[in-house]
Amino acid sequence: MDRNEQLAVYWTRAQPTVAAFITSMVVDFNDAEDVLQQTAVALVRKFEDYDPQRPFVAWAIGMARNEVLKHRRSRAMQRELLSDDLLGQLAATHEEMADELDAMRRVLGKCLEAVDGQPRQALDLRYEEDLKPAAIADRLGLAAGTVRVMLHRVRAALRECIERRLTHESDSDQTQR
Amino acid sequence: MNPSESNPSDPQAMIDRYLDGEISVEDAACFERLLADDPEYRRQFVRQSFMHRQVRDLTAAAALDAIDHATAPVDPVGSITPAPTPTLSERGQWRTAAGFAIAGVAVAIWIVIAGQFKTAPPDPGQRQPLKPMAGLLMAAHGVQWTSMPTDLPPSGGTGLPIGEPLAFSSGVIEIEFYSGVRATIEGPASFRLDSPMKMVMGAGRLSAAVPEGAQGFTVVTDRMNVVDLGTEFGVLTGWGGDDEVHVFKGAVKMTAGTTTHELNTGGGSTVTRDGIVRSIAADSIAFLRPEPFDPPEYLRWIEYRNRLRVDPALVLYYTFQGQEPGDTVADDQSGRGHYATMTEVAIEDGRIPGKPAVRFTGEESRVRFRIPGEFESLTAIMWVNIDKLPHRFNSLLHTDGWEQSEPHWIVGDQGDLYFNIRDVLFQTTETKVPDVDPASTIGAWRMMVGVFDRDTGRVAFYIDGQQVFDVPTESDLPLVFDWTEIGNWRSVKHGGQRRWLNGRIDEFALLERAMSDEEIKALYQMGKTETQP
Repeated sequence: MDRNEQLAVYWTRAQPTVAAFITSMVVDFNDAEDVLQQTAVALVRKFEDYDPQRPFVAWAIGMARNEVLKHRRSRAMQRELLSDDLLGQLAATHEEMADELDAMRRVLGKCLEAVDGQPRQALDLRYEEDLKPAAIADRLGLAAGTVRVMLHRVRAALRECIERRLTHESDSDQTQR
Repeated sequence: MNPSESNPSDPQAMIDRYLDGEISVEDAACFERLLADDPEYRRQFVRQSFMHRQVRDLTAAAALDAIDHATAPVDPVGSITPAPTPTLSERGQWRTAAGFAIAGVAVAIWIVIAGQFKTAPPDPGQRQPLKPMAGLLMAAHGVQWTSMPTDLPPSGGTGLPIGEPLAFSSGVIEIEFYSGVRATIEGPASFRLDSPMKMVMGAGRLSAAVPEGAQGFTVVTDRMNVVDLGTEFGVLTGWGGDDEVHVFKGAVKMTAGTTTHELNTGGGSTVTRDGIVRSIAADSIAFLRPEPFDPPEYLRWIEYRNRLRVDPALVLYYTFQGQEPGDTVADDQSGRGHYATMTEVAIEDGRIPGKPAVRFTGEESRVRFRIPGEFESLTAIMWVNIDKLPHRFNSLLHTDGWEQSEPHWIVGDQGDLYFNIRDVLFQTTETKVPDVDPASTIGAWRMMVGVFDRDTGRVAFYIDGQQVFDVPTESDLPLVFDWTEIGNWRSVKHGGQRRWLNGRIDEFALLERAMSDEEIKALYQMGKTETQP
């Protein structure tokens, strides 16, 4: 396959981790999308310089880190919650966890399907419509605090479900040997 | 693990608060210290923020799936039918990974795979400072740039900035200045555009056609100063020999040293390094002459375009001049750099011979851009030729979302027209006219204008310079756009359905002021085609 196809394959695998890294520092989803787009362009432009001996995710996260810094420079008036220094540590942690994150992604879909009722509504409002807990509370006729607890519990439940499924997977892998 | 409300500083809760944008500044400092000092806490944060991002992408993908399956039309006003419960299939997950933000990966990779690296996808961020342009690069044939106007090789329709050095070592380019002058330049060439009426050449073989109204167009080399008196001439410089000027049609005034010569059709001059001037016969074979003159309609359109271009309230202006099939970027002639990405569109004849338009061919056709900031008043101008109205609501312009203060500009299939703005209570400020003959909206080129006037608190809609409605609006907040499309609607919320425009868009401009009835009428007269009333 040629270089372009190779890039497309690498990127399809790496993108969720890179997107997560960017989101962890650029919390706003729309801004994070923009930075992801800039990163994608940078990767395409510099792909000739990529050394296939190095892991792609690491290289891509390196590019993303630059784009996050650029994004921060462009918002000089805004105070950032987390400092630039943390960027390096978070980048390294994301790289280390790339495989684990990939595994999580595989099972998250099923776990999400199991959520319904009001917690599901709260999730949809939070993630599809990007509403803050106070706005979600208005919509659902609840107190803001209740919504926060609900989101917190749903997220915990998702994590547990993911862990259960991954453990089950690795168990069944072992029994099949 | 007990939840947060009783102790907002609980480390687990802090992660949630950070991700929901609700962490206090104090807690943020503590949060950062924990992240820096505790690797396990950091890993936990990574897991949670990964999940946070993935849930977002999955719910977005599911909503797109829901759009595919939705059949019932949704009234753009008020009650929105809830989207069907999403099922998160493998397909949904694939869409998330590879289909994420179409404007992101797909465009970047597609550009490379298409084998051509055209201008960069739009920088979605800041309101750019105005960059004055002298004209447009209409075509580049076999060009090796050595000094470029942007950091990627420019393509058809790219604006050429004033005052910047431009150079290429081989190939030919075609330029159309905003004054209307058309030029071809053969490399090796180096030059600078000082204005739409003046260029300074260090090297190259230039051939220029100067329309009525652009007389006085000037070319300056080291040895001579050439002022065109109409209409076609050529200049050669910097190729190791004498400087030359050839007059193919009309006359030029050439000054070398202290003497000025008027040269006429068929004549020309050479100037040596020592400033010695000799007469020659014009050699029209050696020069690549630009296309002979455009119909008067095109020249009239140039005046219309220039009228809009110099309006200080112009925020965004797509003319699609110089676009070629396969282009993925539309240049913004406002000078503010609000490029659009284009996907799945066709480039076809527009309303003016010689200037293309964009045709929307299907659901995936997109001309997509981002406008940051807020707007008090607004005028949106679109020249459009709609073939038919197959959808209940057909998009002229839609913001991605349907949030507070966002506009949606729509042609309904029953002769109903909308310039909707969402107001504070998430109700549409719906502005529509029940009784416009549907035929008046389709089948020919029409100039459609939507105006939101903060001062009078009114929204108005015009077709071909005539006001169709003018109604009060309750929206009292500034308008916002963010990610926006013309001719389609990429909605991942509100069960959005198909609204792509069946037809062509020839031009689109946005101004951050409300134009008056008279101005719109006058603008229509300037810009209309021979076949329009």
